Amino acid sequence: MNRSDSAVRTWPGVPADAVHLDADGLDAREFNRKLQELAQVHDLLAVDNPRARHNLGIGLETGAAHIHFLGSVGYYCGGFNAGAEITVHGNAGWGLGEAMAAGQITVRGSTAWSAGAGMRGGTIVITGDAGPRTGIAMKGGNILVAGTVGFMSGFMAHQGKLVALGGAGDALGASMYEGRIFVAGPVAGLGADAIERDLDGVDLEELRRDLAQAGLAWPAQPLHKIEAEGRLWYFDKHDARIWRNI
Amino acid sequence: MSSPHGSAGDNPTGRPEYGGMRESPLWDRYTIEEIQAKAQLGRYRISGFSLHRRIPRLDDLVFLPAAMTRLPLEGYRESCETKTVLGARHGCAKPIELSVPVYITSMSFGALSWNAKAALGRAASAIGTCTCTGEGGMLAEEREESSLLVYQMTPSRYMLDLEHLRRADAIEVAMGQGAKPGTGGLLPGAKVADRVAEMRTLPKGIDQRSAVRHPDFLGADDMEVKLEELRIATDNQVPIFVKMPATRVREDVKMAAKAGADVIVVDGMEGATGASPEFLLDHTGIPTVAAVATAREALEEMGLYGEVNLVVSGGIGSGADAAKALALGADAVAIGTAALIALNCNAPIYQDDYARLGTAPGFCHHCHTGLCPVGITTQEPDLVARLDIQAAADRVENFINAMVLEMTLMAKACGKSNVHNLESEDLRALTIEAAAMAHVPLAGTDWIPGREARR
Repeated sequence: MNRSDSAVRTWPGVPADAVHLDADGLDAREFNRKLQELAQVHDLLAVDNPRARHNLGIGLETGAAHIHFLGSVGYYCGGFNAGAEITVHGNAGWGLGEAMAAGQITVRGSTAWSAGAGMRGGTIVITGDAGPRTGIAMKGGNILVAGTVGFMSGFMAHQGKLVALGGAGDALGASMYEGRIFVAGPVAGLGADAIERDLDGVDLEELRRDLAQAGLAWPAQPLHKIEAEGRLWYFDKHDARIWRNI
Repeated sequence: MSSPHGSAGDNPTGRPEYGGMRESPLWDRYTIEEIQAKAQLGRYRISGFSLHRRIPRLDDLVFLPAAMTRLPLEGYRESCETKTVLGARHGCAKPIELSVPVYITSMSFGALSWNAKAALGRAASAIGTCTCTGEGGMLAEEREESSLLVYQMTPSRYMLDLEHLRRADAIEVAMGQGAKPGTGGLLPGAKVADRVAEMRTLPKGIDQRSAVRHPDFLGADDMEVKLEELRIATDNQVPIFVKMPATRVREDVKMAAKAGADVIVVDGMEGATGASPEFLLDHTGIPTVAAVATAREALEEMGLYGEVNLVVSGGIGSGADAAKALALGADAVAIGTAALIALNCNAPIYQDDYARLGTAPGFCHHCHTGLCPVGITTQEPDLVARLDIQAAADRVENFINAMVLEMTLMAKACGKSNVHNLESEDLRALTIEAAAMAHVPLAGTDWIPGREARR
């Protein structure tokens, strides 16, 4: 294996016995093919030199190795994840873990737009900030963000849970169905049909468990729960004034 | 709903006149009824089916079969190839191989009943062609019945995960539909029954309005990355289709081709729907006859015609339509409404139930009510049971066979031993509009409006 930028650094939380794969010199298809092969025979993989390339770690299944990306990743990292555990030691581009069904993706950094887009299950943990439209169209699973989430996060979320411990941008939870958003810190504004509701005991129990499992501290500021009011669920002429302007 | 227009009769002005009363051509009964309906509803009208106005169509073109300068093939005796391969552009392991250049377009479970989906799948498998899931996720019965199933990835991403992606024989990334370009799907609450709600992860009974913008890409550059992701996730086993409504066809087709589509599906404004804001059906997009030639030229300009496959849909209702679409440059056509009509849509049975909807066989566009009298666009178990899967599949199979017989007969009359050899030189237009849109000469002239004469 070539001596490379990421290999000479030490990466906290990456065990020394991890099997290394160098992403340099491989196109996305070759890289994923090699990663899939290695992930089936080893328990622990470390990817050197991801260099923010797109489409890294696509379609990994249950039983695959725990994969550490040693550096930032580009678009759609961990897309279609079906059960693998992935840790990104850097930032992630658009659509991290989109269409994920199971598994866990942890980003020790920040994410760009649309993390967890359409995800159906599993958990995404982001230790930095998450960009706009985080959790858009999500249908299940958890997204836990230590920092802020950008505008229109939770847009049209069907189900699932989005937690932002450092605040949220504008239009939070716009046009949701049955998703739940928990946010601590400043919120620039709620989106169409989003409404604040009281946290109940079940919510608190779930959140304590989720944050503990993700290694995230309970926020100093109070948590707010955002859900859909349901006024956009039906065509009703009495709501025409709401419809007209959204 | 029947048209409120009467006949103009014998009156020198050509304007409608009824017993000495003159109807305003501007504020006619249709327009008055529209306004008064909206004054009641407080919103735009919603309906199913297709548009409510006359537009230039493939019907306005005619073929020039062989006479002296060309030699015809024996229509009733000699063979004509119909095999069609879609999606070989990027060397995927299993391009879609169809026995005929006609397949069943994307229509969702939800818009359609489960047994309508199953019947379409069974008919397509019997023919050797494919069906498409539409936006409602992948229905188990449809997967089982369809030997070749295109899985549609819409902005709403219903049921989309690795498991379902890998069950597909092709992936279609939907960028809109001809019925309502630029607007997401609509499924009234009456049709969001238990199973539909579960497959779409929705509360039961809500009026579902789907997203129109994809959640994780916006333009051609990030779409290129997205399509590559789909190839990686499917191990490049299956082709990637990109479906778009016919609007800015030249530019949109080029962007999809640049982004890496193996197959581009262009859906003309005639493209139908289970439910749409009604005015969008009439006022958006361009006719199929205009879309085909423009799409072909866009690919030719990129040097990709023949490498990127072109599928055309929207109002294709006969073998003649399909043959014309192929002659104008399509590799295949996709049918929706025509297949539903073959299933039984608007059939003169259960007439009392049509009447209860305020309509009659031949006029019904009430897919949006979820009370389809013939069991196709409904989720009501009693209505669904009216559609016998095998009998319905047989009718669709017969209809597609009839379409293909028309196509091959036309091709042979034009001297072609392969339907894909039909070309726009074989066509002339009956109207100036169709000539301009299809880029073929007006019959009896060398004139293509907007272009220099060919000769």
